[in-house]
Amino acid sequence: MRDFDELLDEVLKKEAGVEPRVGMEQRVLVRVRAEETGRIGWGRRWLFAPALVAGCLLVAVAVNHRFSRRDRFEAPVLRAVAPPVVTMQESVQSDSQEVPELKGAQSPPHTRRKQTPLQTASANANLEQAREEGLPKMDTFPAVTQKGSLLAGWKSDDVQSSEATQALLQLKAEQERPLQVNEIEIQPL
Amino acid sequence: MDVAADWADYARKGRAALKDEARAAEEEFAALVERNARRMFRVAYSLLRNSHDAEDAVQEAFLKLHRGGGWRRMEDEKAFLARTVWRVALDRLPRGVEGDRDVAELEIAAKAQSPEERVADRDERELLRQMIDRLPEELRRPLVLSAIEEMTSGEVAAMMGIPEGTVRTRVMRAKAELRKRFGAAREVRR
Repeated sequence: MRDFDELLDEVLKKEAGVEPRVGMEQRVLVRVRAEETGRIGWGRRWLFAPALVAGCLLVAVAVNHRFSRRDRFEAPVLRAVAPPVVTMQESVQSDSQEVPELKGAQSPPHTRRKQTPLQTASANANLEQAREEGLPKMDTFPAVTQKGSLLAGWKSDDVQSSEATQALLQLKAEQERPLQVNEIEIQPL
Repeated sequence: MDVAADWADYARKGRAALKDEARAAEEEFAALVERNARRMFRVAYSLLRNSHDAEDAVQEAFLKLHRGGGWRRMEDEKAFLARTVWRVALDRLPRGVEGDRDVAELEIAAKAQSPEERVADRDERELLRQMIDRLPEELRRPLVLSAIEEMTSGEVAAMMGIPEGTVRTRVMRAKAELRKRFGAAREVRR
């Protein structure tokens, strides 16, 4: 039987002296270098980030500029006026007042109620009354073009009564009068 | 043109100097790995008891050192590296194993499992190795670590975060426990 302490030292030496697989140092260094290379690669990629952001900004500015120009030269849009909705209660109130007060479509939702046929008839009557008073207004519908406004201005002026206009009309009438050409007579030779 | 040439020359020299410095640092780090990898592997193995896990722990420890640049500021190289790989190995231990198990509980378990009966016909050396493996971690770790070459009880104490006297006491307790169990096993075999 061997001495216990001697045996224990032998076993511990073996236990503590375990060897790694061959080439562990190389594997460690390869992994360290690979990580270092990857880190440098990512660092270089980050250099392209500001250029990418600048490119995106340029594209955004160009697109925005193009759309803003299109909006500037776009024809005016005619806005339809929603017919006013008048409830029964408001109709009664409007009857008692001299000037009818119309409630527009912009009234808050909680004030709307389901209309009965009587309410609808009353609303239609108020709408007719409003139309007679001049609605819809000319500043909203129909839109007057520049050409139309010029024509209306010319029409409204009392130009036709002026002498110059009379003279012009006379001249125009003379110009439009058919020419009277005498028959050509050819003398015999 | 002369100024431009001077600047180009200056930049070239600067790049060359940086390259030389990087190459020197790389060689220095490679030498550090060559000097300490095996020792660190043994430290990790004493905790993890698996060659692959121990090697992974060594690689992770070196990667951490290289990333942080801590390897340039080491005072006691061996102790510092041993502590680093010890912490890495502790992190790699499965949950519930990192803490030292209760000694009494393990002794009861060892008696219930009766390793002496199972390995009665095996070699005495193998029997003793199994007994070391079955020791409580708080006794086994200082015993195995102190057996690693050039590892003093002070280094083991610093690594485990316990007083040096405690390390010596635990080593003595471990040996006494092994002697008692080994004697009992021999009696059974007779």
